[in-house]
Amino acid sequence: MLYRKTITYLSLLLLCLCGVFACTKGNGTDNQADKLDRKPMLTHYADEYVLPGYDALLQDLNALKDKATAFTANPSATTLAATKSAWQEAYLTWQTVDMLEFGPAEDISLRSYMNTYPATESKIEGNIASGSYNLETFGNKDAQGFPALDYLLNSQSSTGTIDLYTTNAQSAAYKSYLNNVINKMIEKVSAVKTAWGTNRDTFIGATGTDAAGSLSKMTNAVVLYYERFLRSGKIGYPVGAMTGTPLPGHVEAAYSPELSKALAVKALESYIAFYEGKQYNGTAGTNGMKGYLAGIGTKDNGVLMADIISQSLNEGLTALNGLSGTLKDGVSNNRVAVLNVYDKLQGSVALLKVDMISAFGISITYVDNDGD
Amino acid sequence: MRKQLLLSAGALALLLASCKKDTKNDDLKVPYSGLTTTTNYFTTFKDNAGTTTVNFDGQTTRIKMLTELDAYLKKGTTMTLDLAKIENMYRNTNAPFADAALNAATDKTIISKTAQSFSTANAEIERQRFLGYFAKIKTASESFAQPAASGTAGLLDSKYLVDAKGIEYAQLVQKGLMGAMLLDQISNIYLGEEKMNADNIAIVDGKNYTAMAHHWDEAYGYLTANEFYPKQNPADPTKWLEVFLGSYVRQVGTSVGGDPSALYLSFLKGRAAIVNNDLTTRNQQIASIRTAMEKAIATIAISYLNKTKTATSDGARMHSLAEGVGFVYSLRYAYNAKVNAAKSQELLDNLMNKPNGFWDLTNTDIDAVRDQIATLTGVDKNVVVNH
Repeated sequence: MLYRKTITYLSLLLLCLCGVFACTKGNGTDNQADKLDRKPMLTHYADEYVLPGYDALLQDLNALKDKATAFTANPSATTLAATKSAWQEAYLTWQTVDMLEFGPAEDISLRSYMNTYPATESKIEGNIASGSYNLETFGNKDAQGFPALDYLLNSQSSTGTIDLYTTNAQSAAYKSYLNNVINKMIEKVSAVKTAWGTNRDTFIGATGTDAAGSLSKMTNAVVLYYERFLRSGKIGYPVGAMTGTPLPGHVEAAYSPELSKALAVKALESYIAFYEGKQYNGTAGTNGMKGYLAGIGTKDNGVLMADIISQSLNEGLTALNGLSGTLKDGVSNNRVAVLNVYDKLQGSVALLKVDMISAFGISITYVDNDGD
Repeated sequence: MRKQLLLSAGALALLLASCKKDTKNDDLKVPYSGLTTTTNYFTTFKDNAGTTTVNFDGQTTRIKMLTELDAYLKKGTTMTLDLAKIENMYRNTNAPFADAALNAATDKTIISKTAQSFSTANAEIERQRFLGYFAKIKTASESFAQPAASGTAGLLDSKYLVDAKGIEYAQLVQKGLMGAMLLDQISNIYLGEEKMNADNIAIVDGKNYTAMAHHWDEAYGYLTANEFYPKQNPADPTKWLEVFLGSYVRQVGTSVGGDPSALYLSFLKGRAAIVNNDLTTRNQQIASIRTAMEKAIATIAISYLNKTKTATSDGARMHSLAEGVGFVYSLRYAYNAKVNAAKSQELLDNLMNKPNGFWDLTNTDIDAVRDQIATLTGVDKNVVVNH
């Protein structure tokens, strides 16, 4: 009797097992990344980098607004210098959050309002002359943001600039354009910050490695940023790395040549800090992409890929810091040195775009240029 | 004890059988279970002599015509175009094509297959629309030597020809005909009631296929000319061998909610069902194909609109927008379209009718159009396709 029962149970068990095996498709890939908990990393980025980052930028933009208000109320060498200085501070802070074009910033396309360069002078002057313009339109992306402010504040001597805001027939229009551009920037950053407030939980909850997951969206955005906006936008395009033709007018902050390199340095320093999992205030942490990559354990020749990437990014930073003179002059007159910096920056692209992406078990969802 | 062993063995057999879908496969001329994503479409369907019964020369011919027309329109970036030549290509009159075989195919034209499923009066409106676009491209091409700006036709990023309103009409033509010709022919004409009610018993005089089977193949021929879909270029695995509609639908992969291989399986299985005279299965495939096509076009349209917002130059922005607008137009050619002709036209007008055209658009305008398409079609409004 017992024997019979055993047989019955065994048959039932066999039946169950067969049922499971017969109809389940094996999920072939056994990715190490799938086993890691991504929530601490996403929480770190949302709470310790993104939110404080936009706070800092908003603070700087509001300070800029105050200085610009004082300048337009009473244009003088002192108030102009204070406005320029606040603009520079805010522009440097922008470099710390420029890489975050995913989620709300992507929805709003923040970068296109903040930093489309080079600015088109004819559009800015046309808008000021006509007095009728809408900074939301596609035709005005290159007539606003930090680059337009650079033109408005720095394209002439201090005296020349003050004249525009005092004796010039259109001084009122210049004043209002300056303030409108700053207000638009504040409006956009505020919108992103507010949206992040509600998006935060969704962001840290989307822990999958699929294209809709936060890891894929964030990683794609920062890798794209590195190759297209940091490497190419700041260095490669102005030096003509692909064309051999320098475009000095295409450096970032073209009217403030002494600032271009500092902006690039700030951008790369921020990028490294972001990758390494530092908090926005600079405090070291382990919950960043680097820590996650180290957790996966991918190695090359016995060295952790996580460390190889840090080292490569830092080599780029060293090269960039070592560049003498301004970028605007360098792209024409110191090409070998600038191209060397480009090559050092280029060295990290494959590590980020191929090695890190594949270790993360995600894929690149953007392309370099339009197919047709 | 023996009884119980037998019982469990029986249960096991039953269980295994339950995982198998088509128990009657053995009775079918073309068993469904043997069809895979790389099954050869041509050799699967053969006559008794072993010759394929698949033929869609007419479709391939029209796609080649579209290829030449599209290539000529793109020359507007380097020369002033000849409007008569463009219209001749559209109508296949006066031997306009470089490929003599196309000129010789005088019974094949793009114009006759533009919006063919519409009422004659409405089809005429669509044909006039494309003729109007040709005239705009011709006029813009006169400015090929100068950069474009708001109010000025010319080139953006030295490679995109736009009119004074920033509209790259060549893209509206290319993407628009993917809908008005290719999608319409597949979803409404060849998979439509009339063509699918054709005879499936008699062999067409002088041919080796039934009328119904041939109609199915003609639908397939508007998607691809290859023996399966999608197909990589063997010489360069980063490239694919489809053009136009087949190429764009292929780009809507599984990561963005599409499945080109599943679409292919539907074509394959539907054709097998016709051979098997199994109209229930065939009808299921028709429904799947129509749904997949509409979803793919909606996904591409939304993707291009999203890319417009993050583009980094006026050229890239306007180019992406023109592509998106072309697909917004094409949505009306889906079967029983969720974004129907009236809605598609309304969305198109919202994007094209500002005083300075595309130059006056804002993210808000784009989002309003995008969100309506997303709501109507059930596609994620944030989708971005890796084109």
